[in-house]
Amino acid sequence: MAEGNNKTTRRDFLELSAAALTGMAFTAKSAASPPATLQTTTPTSTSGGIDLVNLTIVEASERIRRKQLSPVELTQAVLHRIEALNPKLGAFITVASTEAMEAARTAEREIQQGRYKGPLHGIPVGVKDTHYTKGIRTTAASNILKDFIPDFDCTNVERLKNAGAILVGKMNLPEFSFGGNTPGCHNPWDLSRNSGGSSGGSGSALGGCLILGATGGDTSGSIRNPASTNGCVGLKPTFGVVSRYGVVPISWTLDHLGPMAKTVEDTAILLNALAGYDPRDGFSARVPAQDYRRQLRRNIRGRRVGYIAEGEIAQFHPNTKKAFFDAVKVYEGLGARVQEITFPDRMRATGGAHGLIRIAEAATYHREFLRTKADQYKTADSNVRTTVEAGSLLTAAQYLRCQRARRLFLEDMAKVFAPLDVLLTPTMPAPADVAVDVPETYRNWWNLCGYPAISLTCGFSTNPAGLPIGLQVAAKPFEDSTTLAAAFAYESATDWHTRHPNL
Amino acid sequence: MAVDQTFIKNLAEANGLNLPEERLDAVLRQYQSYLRTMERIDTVPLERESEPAIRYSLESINPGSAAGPSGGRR
Repeated sequence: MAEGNNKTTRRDFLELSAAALTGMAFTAKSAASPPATLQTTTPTSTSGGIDLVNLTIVEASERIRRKQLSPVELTQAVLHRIEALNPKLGAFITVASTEAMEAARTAEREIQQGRYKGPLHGIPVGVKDTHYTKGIRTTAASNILKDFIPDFDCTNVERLKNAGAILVGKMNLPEFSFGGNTPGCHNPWDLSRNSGGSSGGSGSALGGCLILGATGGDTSGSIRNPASTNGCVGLKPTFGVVSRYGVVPISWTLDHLGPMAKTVEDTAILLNALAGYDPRDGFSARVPAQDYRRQLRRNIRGRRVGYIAEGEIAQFHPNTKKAFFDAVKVYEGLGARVQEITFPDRMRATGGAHGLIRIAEAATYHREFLRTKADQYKTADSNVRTTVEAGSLLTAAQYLRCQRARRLFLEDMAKVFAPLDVLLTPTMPAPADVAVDVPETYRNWWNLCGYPAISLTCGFSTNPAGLPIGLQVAAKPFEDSTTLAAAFAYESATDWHTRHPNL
Repeated sequence: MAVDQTFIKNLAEANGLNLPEERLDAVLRQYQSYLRTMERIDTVPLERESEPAIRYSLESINPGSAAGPSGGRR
């Protein structure tokens, strides 16, 4: 403790705890003279001149591991920022500050006792409000579930907690995840614009540095869309790599859950915690566990990188196309073997199976709500009720024809990918809230075939100015590590990810 | 049979959904968009042998059995 100041900071607490544990003598003098490596600061957003909320998971975890930063300090800083900025951003539906601080204190104690769990220990994260959280309401942004409080955690929340992460809240989304925009959730780069969706709250909070990591759900691009729109990273893993158990679904055979973060390495750290076989998820993949973070630094030189031909994205926004083709040049400069790719015409028809499979499965999930609580669906900013009512009228024969068409789509995608390691497309056809009319966006396709796909920032628009543009990197099934490594190579060669909005 | 509001109402009832009159127009338009998508998909010939892209997996329930999971996942 500093002389004349009888406040004990978190750092003092950590130091004293460590001293007690090692049996060192504790005197009044040593209490008044903290060691040079620790600073006597009251819990604020800065520590040692570092703005805590701007830290990545990698940066924060290293400080926590070295006991230079307390999980309590970090969580307090995050909660302060949420309190200050969530009214502007609308990123959170529920902020679990009491639970978060309790978990942060537990993490601090564990770390002080030498029970460090790994890079997520003490890291504040948010989860999309489709993820069941024990004792914390899970609403899916719907009036139908507004009072629903699960009595168990979904697998993903379990795994994040087991890794020591601090759950700070439930992230905003459109009703039941239906939609590519999140009503009431704003873009940190331009508050007059939307955050995208459906994992819009997660994207907005990451872009605005309200949290260090998050989860999202992706049925038609809903991790990658907000990642691109808000200037962060989002991975839709291979279907079955991350458990869907305990998450409000849209469509059982198209839903993917995955990590979102500020950087590719942070995303890999989250995936390490989330990935793995779950017997409670009937589509969970039995694949060996991997260390995705350890595989990030594989050399991109000589890798076969396909990129979508200009003719396939002719109607995309000019800023998006420029940023995309500049990204292709970066890969070329890194020594990758780049080649232009077009898709067979048949895929444009069979790709349409995504929409009908999605709505037929969703309608089945919503059947009981339609029969008993139909009037509780939102009437503004939501098309859930109409789409699932109409989806309820599709026949089994129509659904199965779509699933047969899906089989052809899978065959064609395998042929397109045969000569490639990764395939690049823009994530979105235009920056946030800029309307363009395009025949295909190439996001749904990765849900239909289940291949892994990640979005990371590859530039910012000039007209309108200052909006993030996302690069989508896809790979073959269960090559999530290749997706991440290719994304990491690009990110390491650029600095888009170091920019923060001025909030 | 024309795909109109009466059709929608009857089809919904046959599927256990009672759609009020004020919902029929919106649901009809949405349903028609699904039919257009289906028409495009149906332009692609499906070989007789092509199967739906959904599977289920089986685990042995016989204690001590050496058989592992069968079937497969998409």
